[in-house]
Amino acid sequence: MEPAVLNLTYNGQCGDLPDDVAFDLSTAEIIEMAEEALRAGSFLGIDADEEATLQGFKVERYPAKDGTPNRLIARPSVPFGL
Amino acid sequence: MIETGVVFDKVGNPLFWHEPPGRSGGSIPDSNDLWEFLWEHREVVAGVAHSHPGSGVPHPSQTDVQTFSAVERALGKRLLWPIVTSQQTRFFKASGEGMFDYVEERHPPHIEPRVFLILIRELRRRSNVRAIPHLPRARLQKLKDWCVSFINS
Repeated sequence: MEPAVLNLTYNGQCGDLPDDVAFDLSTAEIIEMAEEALRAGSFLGIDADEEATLQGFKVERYPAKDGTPNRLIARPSVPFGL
Repeated sequence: MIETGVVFDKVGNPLFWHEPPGRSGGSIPDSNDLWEFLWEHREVVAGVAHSHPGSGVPHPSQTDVQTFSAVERALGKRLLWPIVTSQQTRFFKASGEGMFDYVEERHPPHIEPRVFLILIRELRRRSNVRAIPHLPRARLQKLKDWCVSFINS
């Protein structure tokens, strides 16, 4: 398993999950994990929200480089139209 | 016509023209640049307008309302979401009920009509949309009658 840091922006706050997650998880798995962690208040710097849903969010994947760890960034997807 | 977006401040001044590669007459793709701009300027961002094809009454698509909702949940603030066609502009905002329920806002607070009109004109220009002048119904009927009489003559 390639470990990665999972970062999320939610309710005007941005924070990392303190535990590593697998870099190669599917987007759906990462979003589900982030949603559960958000409800439990596990993200550092983000207040718990028991009713949080991350429907409409996506995951950007940044491989480790120059000593930085793998990063998974969960953010809102912003397409318009059809 | 090519769909175009613009981020604006509370009175209607443009902050960021959203013209990513891959947009078409029917859609604008997801873009990390737009999200990063919204996040970095969240204190001053008041809304995001985008253009729709045609001249009819603008309505948000399912994709649109999913984007509206996801952005607002991430930013932790409500925004205005105007949609512009060649003849009409409608502002949308969260209804406060379902997560994806958006309703028309007829009197958006803080927006300066003159400032916003300039933004809409520029949005139409960048979308390759020509504003069609609105003809009153009576004048339109007169024009139709003239065409019919011309064809029959």
